[in-house]
Amino acid sequence: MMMSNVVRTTTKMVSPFLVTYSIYIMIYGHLSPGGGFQAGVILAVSVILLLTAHGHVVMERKIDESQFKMIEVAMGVGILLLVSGGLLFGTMFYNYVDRGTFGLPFSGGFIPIFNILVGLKVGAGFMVVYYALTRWSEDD
Amino acid sequence: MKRVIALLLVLSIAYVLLPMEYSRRDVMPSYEYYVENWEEVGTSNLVMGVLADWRLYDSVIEAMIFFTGILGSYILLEDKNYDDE
Repeated sequence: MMMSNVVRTTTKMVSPFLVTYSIYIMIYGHLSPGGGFQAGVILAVSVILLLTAHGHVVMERKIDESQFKMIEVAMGVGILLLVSGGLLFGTMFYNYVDRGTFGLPFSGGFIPIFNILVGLKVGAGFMVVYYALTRWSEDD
Repeated sequence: MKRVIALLLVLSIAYVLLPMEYSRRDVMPSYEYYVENWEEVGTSNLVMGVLADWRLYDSVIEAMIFFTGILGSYILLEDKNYDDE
């Protein structure tokens, strides 16, 4: 299903800004309100908007859904590896990276890395779910 | 017999859990601990500090639950005619 010309043009203009905003929230999640999950949802919305406006037939030529699945699984394994790396420094879930200076982007140990991993994982996951849910609604 | 055992289990759990009370003032509540030891984490967003440092196990297991949900929905909605893989 393809929506009208106005919707398609607006979506094309809005979607890159959503990706930029999502990356900002991912990187600065430990300094300002936000975090990995919220960033992932915004990232997924940028693709869901395009999918809704342009329809599956057009989008299937542009994006590869198996990449989303790969990102999802890779980020899940990455989170587990990152977290279990604390076993080398004492206990599981221990924040073993240097804390840095309070208030700067490089602070809080591995919290920024964790945010980025969770953001990519949640974004890819929501994309996969939306893709799987709406695949049956296509007529053409 | 099974129902009697189940009832006894529920009653014993209730006997342990119902008298619990959190009205004591001499013990420091957890939020006071978080605010006092803010510098320990080193993030200016305290919510993220709680979620991703003190309660990291909760966040990680939540991510795994999300992963399981996606896996289940994808298995249920899988396209049987999708012969790409």
